[in-house]
Formats: sequence, C-alpha cells, structure tokens
Amino acid sequence: MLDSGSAPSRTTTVRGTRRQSASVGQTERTLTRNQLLAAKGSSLADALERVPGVASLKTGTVAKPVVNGLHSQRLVVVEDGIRLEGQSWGAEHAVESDPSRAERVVVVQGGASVRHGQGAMGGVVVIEPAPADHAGISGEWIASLRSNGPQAGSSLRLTGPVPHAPRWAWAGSVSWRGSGDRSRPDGILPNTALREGSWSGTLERHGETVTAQASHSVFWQHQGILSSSHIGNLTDLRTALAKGSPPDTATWRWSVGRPDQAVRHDVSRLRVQGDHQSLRWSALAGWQSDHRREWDLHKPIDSRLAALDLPELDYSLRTGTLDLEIEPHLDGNWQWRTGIQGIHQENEYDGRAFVPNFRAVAGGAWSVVALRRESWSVDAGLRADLHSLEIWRRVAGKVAAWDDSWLATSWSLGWLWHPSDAWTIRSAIGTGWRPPSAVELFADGLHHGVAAIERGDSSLGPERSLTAQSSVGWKMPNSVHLQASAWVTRIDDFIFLRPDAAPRLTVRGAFPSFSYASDRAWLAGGDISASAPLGEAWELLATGSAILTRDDEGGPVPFSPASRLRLGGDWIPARSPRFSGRVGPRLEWIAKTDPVSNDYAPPPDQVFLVGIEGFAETGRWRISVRGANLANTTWRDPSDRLRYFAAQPGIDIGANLSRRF
Amino acid sequence: MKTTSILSGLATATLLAACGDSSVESPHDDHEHESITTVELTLVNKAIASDSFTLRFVDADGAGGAAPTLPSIGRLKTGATYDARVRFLDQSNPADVHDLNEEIGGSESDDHRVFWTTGSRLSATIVDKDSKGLPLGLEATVATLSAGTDTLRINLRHLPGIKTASSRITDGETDAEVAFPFEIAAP
Repeated sequence: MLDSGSAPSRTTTVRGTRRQSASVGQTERTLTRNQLLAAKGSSLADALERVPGVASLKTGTVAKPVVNGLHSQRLVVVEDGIRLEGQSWGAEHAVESDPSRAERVVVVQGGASVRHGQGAMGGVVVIEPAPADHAGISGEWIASLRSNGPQAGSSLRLTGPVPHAPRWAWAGSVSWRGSGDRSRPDGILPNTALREGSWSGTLERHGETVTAQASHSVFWQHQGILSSSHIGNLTDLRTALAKGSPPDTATWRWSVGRPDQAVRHDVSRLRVQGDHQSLRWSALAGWQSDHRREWDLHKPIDSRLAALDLPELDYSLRTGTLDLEIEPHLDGNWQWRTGIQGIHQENEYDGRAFVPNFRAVAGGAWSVVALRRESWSVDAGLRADLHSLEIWRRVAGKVAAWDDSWLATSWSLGWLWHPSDAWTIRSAIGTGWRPPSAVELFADGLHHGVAAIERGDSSLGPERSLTAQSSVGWKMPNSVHLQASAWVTRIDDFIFLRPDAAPRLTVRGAFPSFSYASDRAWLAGGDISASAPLGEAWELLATGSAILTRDDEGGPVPFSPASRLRLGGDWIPARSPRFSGRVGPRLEWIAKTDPVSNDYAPPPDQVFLVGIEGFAETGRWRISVRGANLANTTWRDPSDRLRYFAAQPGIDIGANLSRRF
Repeated sequence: MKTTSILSGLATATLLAACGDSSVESPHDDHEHESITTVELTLVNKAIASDSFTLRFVDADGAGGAAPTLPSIGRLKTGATYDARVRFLDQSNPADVHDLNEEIGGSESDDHRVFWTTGSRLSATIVDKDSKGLPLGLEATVATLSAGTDTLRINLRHLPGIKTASSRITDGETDAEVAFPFEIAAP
C-alpha cells in the first residue's frame, strides 16, 4: 500500500488535465487507489503524507501538505484543472479540498513554474475527480469511522448519462464528516472538534471533436483551534510553555467552541476542449470565492459587541482565472504545447486588518517543446509572467494605496531515459518564482496563534528559485519496485520572519516581535520508496524522506519537516476472483530536527510510531482499516506550530466501508 | 501603474469574475470589533483629597501600528494610603467610546479578575467583589511602604468558568496588562 511509483502515462481526454508537470524529467508520485481509499474520511494532507517527499505542516490537528520542504505560498494545489486560491499564508489554514471527491492525486516534486506560474517552487499537487460516465450510472458510497475524536463521515458520488439527451452526462458528489475533541495519550486536546462538508455538480457534453463541461463545487469547514494555544501575552506564553500540555480539567466536547475558524470555498469551472486533426486545444475559465472567518478565544467584553458575535478576522478572496492551451499535432516524435494564463484576484477584509485589501492581476505565456523517442524523451519549457499587485489599507484613519508589478521568466529542462523495461531515469532543472504576498509586505499586528507581533516589509522583492532533481525507478519482473530521488533547491530572497531585537509593548503586555525579511535559502533532500515480495504471501515496504535546509547564516529554515522512514510488511492472502486484500504492520521513525534560533522550545526528540493498514475487497464492497499510533506514544511533531502546547493525538483506529455502483 | 491598468483592462474584458462593484479600494475603518485601547489608573490619597491623579496607557490603533503612549511616572507620598481604581476603555472609535468596566464589574464579573502586583515599596489590596463574593479588582487600596521606585502591574484576566477564590495570575488568559511606574518620596 506504500507503492507510489512513477505515474502511469494515462491521459484523460475528458477532464483534460493530462500531464500537469512542466517537464518529463520531474519526479511524479501518484497516490494509489488503495492509499486514496484508506485516506477518505480524513484530510488531504493526511492522505498525502503517505507519499515519499510529502510531509505535513501541522497546527495541532490541522495539517497542510509540504512538498520538497516547501508549502503554502510556495506550493500549488490544482483541483480539477483549477489552481486553488485560499488564504494560504496561515500555517493553520488547511487546503480547501475534500479528498473524498478525488479519483487520482499526483504530486509533482520540484519547481513547476513553467506550467503553473508563480508559487510552484516546491511542486504541484494535482487532484483529479472521477470523470463523468456517459455509459451508465456509476458511483461510490463511503462511510468512515475513527476512534480518536471520535469521527464519523460519509460521502456519495454518482455519475451517469442524461436521459433522452445523447452525448450529455452528469456527475455529483456530497460528503460530510464531523469529529469531537481529539485525544492525546494522557488527556484530551481541548477544542479540536471539526465539521466539514462538500458538494459538487457537473454537466458535460461530449461531442465528436469538442467537449464542454460546466461544474460547481463547494467545500466548507468549521474547526476549533486548540484552546490552550491561544495566548494572551508573553507571560502567558511562558506559563503555557512551562505547562506544555492542556489543563487536565478540560472536558471532552463534540461541538466546536472558541477559538474557531470557518471557511467556505466555492469553485465554478467552465471547460471547453477540442481534438481536431491538426491540433488539440482547451480553454478553462474558473471563478473561486474563499471566505474565511476566525473567532478569538472569547467574546468581546462589551455586551453589544458580544451579541453581534462577529469574527475577529474575516477575509473574502475572489479569484477569476483563464487558462488557454494549444497543442498542434506535429510530425514524428515532436510535441509542442503552448498556452496563456490570466488571473484576477481581490482580497477584502472585514474585522481586524491583519491582511490588507489587495488586487492582484497577472498574465503569463508558456511553451513546452518535447522530443519523445521509445527509450528517451527530452523537453524544454519557457514562461514569462507579468504580475501586478495593488494594496489598500487604513493608516491613521485614511486609505493608503501601494502598488508594484514584476516581470519574471521561468524555464525548465528535463530528460527521461528508459535503458530497459526495468529502469527509468529522470532529471530536470528549472526555475520558479513568486511575488511577495500582501501579508509579507504589510502585515502589522498580533498573530494570536503564535503569540507574536508580525510586521511586513514593503521593500521585499520576489523570491526566485532554482531546482535540480534526479530520480531512478527500478521495476523487476518479480515485482521488486524501487524509486529513489534526490533534489536541491536554491531560493534567492527567500522570505521569512526574522525576530526583532526587542519585544513590542501592547495593552496586553509585551510580545515577541518578528519582521518579514529575505535571505538566500538552500533546501536539499532525497526520497525513496521500495517494495519487495517475501515468499508467497508477504510483501515488504519502505518509504523514506530526508531533508536538509540552510539559510545564508547556516541555520535551518524554521518548521522544515523532519526526516522520516516508514517500514512495513503486508500479508497478502491468495487472491481469488471474489476476494482480494492485504494487511500488515507499519513502523515509522521521525527524526529530531536541527534546533532553530529564537525557537520557543528545543526540537522534540525522535520518535517511533506503530501502526497497521489493510483492506479487504469482495465484489463491489470494500473495507479498509487503519490504525495510527497504536502504542499510544506521546510525541510532538517538529513541524507542528502548536507542539509547545500539546502532544499529537494518541491511538486512532479507523475503518472505511465503501461500495461501488 | 500603466502595466496594472493594461492587465486590469485585459482581465476585466476576459474574465467574468472581474465583473461587479468592489469595495476593495476603500478598506473600511471597522469599529464593530473590541480592542482595549486604554487603561486608566486613578489614585486618591485617603488623607489629602487634593493629592489625586490619573495615569494612562493608550494604544489607539491596537497591537501593531503606532507605538502606544506609556503612562507617566506616578508620584506617591511615603506613609500614605490611596484609593485606587482602574478603568478599561475601548477608544478605537473616538465617536463611540466604550467603558468596559460596566461589563467587567457587571455581567462579566464572574469571569474576570484584575490582579494587582507590586514590588516591595508598595502594597495593593483588592476591595471590591464580583456577584459571587469573589475578589474583582477594579478597586483597590494602595499603601506606600518605603521611599524609592516601584512598579504596579495591572493584569485583567479572563477566567471563563474557572474563577475561584484561589485563582492565580497564571490561570486563564490575559485581556490587558499594563505596568505603571511609581516614585515614592517623603511628603
């Protein structure tokens, strides 16, 4: 279940996502159907953690994916062809996507700016939903239960032809999950309850040469933030650090309390694509709205304001995108794809102005040329972007405006070599970039989650990255699989929070103060995944990732993921036409990370975690089981922003029951 | 600005999403969110009514932004006792000032307590009570013990449902904390 070899070269003409990466030389890892099914009923980051090279940046029980050590504004998530645009700057802001809709998830490691534009420095996570079924009604129903929380969820996905309308098909999905306060090994994690839901609808017309599709999807989430992590001031922070755990008096609750966050993400898509004798083309227009609200630990003291119950932070981010792509059919083994992309984005705040209002308008043009032979391929890509950012904020009662624009180019080169059926070798080198965000330029205020005052720097410029990577895949006929990859990234003007010399005084007392600054950063790593049969009925599995980061002063980049190694063995009973399944133990080692200067606490010790994974499938029914932290080990994740205040969840046993139609 | 307008025009023409009015260019000046901007400490000499003064900590734009105005040094007389009263105000909207003492001393009194912490030259004793008879701390008696300098730290704590007679300054969460410097000298 840990096998995640290189992606099969499957092309989906219906959904049109096809190869999303910039280069044939980039390492791609696909979340297998088994991994995806086992992860349904949890978060996207949870599901992706099983892919080597992908880690999670945690904020208590909230997680977001980290690829090649980079996340948030340095990682692009593409769902059904549309790049998701949310308030990704916050470590506690999970990706607004529900894995229960996904049919296939691909992680492209390393800079993919040529195809995806700014921000794709760490890589791209591509989420593809199941295609609409024109032949007959099909679908899947899933029910999931997990012991830690406890958590329950269910999802239903259906698709089929439109009656009396040849060439037309529809698809729809709906899902919900909810969890009470989760538990650490020696107590509860107060206020970590969750509610999450999603629905989507698609209508598609599949013509002779032209296919058109319109869809709308909605994702919403309401979650509590560990209440003991909400800090009044520096003295409170020291008190909380000294305690290191939530109070034992906390009682378990099913409901979400304060402090909490609610987000609703709407995406509308209109896609038209044609496949003619001379060329293939696609046009995709997208509109997204991301509405995020955050409430502080307690209501205002003033009873009139308390009655309003307004969120302290309230952001509306509206994004329109247009993506045109053309691929002329060339003679021989040549392939040429080219396209333009446009984006128009506006952010508006209500409540406290931590992130100012802004409008970003950008356009880009790209081209990738490839030569494909039987045993090798090479490609080269080039892109130019023009990005403008306008910002409006209130300064001393008046509106202050600011604007800047940047012209950036990105390129990539890659090659792939199949010396034999067993071997695949890939290498790629490419650049990426991203402009400074409105937060990094103009943040000014208290960030409660981390008990610090954060200040922007309006003189910051764009980040530019250069990534080189190589991977080797080895597949033996006796089903030994091995994929190993190594990568190194240099980021110039890497933007980070630098501690100020003196704390800043507020009405709540003194707070540590941080200012956004930029410096060169280096990140390097290697990932491995392997599986090998052991006798008739067993298979051994291993995945691992190592990462090393350095800034120009020789220190590590804060909150970089730890190196980790996962070992397992599956017992595979004899397969029959009516039954298939496997089950086996997992052992995970998470290394200790390098200490970061000015960190509130030293990095946590290394840890070993025990788990179990398995599934059984008969006919259309399937059950998958997953047990995490079975030894109920108390541990803290080095990349958890709340590790100072609470340990990670304890034992968690879950099962998913699914039926295909 | 020129590239911005060209791109803007292009995008508006091509993208449906760009349609519609937007207030993004005029961020509002929000006053529907509470921000304690001002902490006032008033002291009145019990023996000499004319020996009274008020010290203020003011941060009108909240945390971040402009630096706060710190309280000036309070001058006390040795061997004296003062009636002290602390007020918490939200003055973020000068046209609509909220006196938060109304709630802290009223409906919210059972969930709040003000802690008065001094050095060795001063002593402070809370004199008021909440609705359950537990110490509240909006009013106190401050006595001067010896000449020199000292600091009086006022800490308003939120103790939702956990306030007891033995609540300590390490319980709950800080709503406001201000240090008032004092100089104690012979009259």
